[in-house]
Amino acid sequence: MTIAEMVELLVGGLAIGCIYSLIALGLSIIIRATGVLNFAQGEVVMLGAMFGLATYRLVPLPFPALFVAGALFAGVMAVIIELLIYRTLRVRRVPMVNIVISTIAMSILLQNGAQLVWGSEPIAYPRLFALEGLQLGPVRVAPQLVWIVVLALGMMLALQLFLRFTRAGLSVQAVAQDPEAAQLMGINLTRAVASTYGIAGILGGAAGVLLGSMFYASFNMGFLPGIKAFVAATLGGLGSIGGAMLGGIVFGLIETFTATSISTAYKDAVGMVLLIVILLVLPQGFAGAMRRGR
Amino acid sequence: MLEVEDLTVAYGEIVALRGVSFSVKRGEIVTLIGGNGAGKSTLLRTISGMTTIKRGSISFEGTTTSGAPVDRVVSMGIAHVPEGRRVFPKLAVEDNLIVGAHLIASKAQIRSDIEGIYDTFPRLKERRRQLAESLSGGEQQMLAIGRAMMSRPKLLLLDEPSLGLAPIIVEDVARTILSLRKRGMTILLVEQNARVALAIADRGYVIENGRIVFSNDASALRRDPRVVESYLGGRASADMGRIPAVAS
Repeated sequence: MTIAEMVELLVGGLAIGCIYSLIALGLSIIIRATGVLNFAQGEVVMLGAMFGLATYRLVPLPFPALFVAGALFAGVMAVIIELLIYRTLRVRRVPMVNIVISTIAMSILLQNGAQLVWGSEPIAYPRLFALEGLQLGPVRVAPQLVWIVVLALGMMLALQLFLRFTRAGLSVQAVAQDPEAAQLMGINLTRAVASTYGIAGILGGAAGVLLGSMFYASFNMGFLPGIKAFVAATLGGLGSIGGAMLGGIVFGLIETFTATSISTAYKDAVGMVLLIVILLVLPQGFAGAMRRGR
Repeated sequence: MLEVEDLTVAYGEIVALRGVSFSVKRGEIVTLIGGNGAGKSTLLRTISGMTTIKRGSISFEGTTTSGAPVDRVVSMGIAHVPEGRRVFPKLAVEDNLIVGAHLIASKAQIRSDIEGIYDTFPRLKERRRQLAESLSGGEQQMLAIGRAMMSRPKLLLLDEPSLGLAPIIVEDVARTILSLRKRGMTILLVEQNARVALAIADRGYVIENGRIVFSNDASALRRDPRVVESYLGGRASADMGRIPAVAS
């Protein structure tokens, strides 16, 4: 493998890794705020991709605008699902497991719904980027990958700024750390949890547009990435924000290098083997390992 | 200011409060003393709207609060410092205060209230950028009280503020409570440490098995043989010399 090929792989892995990071971040903030493992997060990703595409067909906007449109639509959908279904279950005080199962139901329901609306065939994303590689010294990089990395990192930065420096962000964190105490501060839990789902939806939808632009959009495009994002989040330490970001990128790189050095056919299996290994040797993920190291 | 009437609360089959009635007047420090599991925390949680009421009513400044959601109760002017402080561990001290001001719209007001809290608790100012989990127990208690003050309450509910603190820190907390009252705050204090509670309170209620068994002025309760026997370790009130010194 030449250095140039190596760099190309690295950027590709980084791009797909950033997409996993966005999905994993959404999973993490939902786990922190509600304890729910949201198996429908992958379908929120799909909705973002589909809506980005639908927007393009309506008005052929440039890519960053589609990115924002897809993210916002997915965010709105996530809030609606939360208020309609998960909240209804929560106020009835059903066991947590029931809510988790209902997210699996939502995942299948959304896939079927999308199949009805958009059909079963994968839909190609329009060519939004120059095919001409960006020449950086001896290395050629696809502009699309650069865009993906830049937009995804921008999104993660925005999330950090929101959580740390805005009052709404601090409230979201407070709810995640101690919902009952947060309530005593006058925070309305229903609204706080709905906004958490909204933020997770925005992150997922953004990932969807990026993922769609890399490959194609289809009704079941979100399922496997959703599961892989769980691996990424676990790798980083389930519920940790920094862990989800790092876990996603690391997982994307591992997957990409496995695909070229071993076989594309087995790259998904390698990911799942990785999940089991993490659960065995590093159950707290990177975040846990760092805490222990201190 | 606060009127609780015939309050009955049950968790499933277990009855936690049985027909509890009591009141708190503006500017008072009222304490509820009782052993573990007597229903003290349940009472405060019920006032805050965190449990469902089976029977009875709660009113605050003439308005019924029973049945209102927690955020509504907070907006009416009742702040609750929960048992075990419950500061947000992974937020900085100052961010804890900002979250405490959730219902305050004006940023300028929040800023000046934070400065006010720092004047009262200089330690918090020194540690404003540190995570709340890195504070000592006493500092966390100060933060929990400061955080509750950020909502500009009229009535402060304090649940076991002395729990797990060294005696010397307990005195600090007691002094803080008195200074809050001096500035016009009304306080309902729930304590297992009856010695401290009765030293700073105006009136007290004794709660056992979810019932208020008797009540009186704090000074009378300190000498009441039933209280001395059950809650002050059975020794005469001569032993109270240290803490009442705080009150003066």
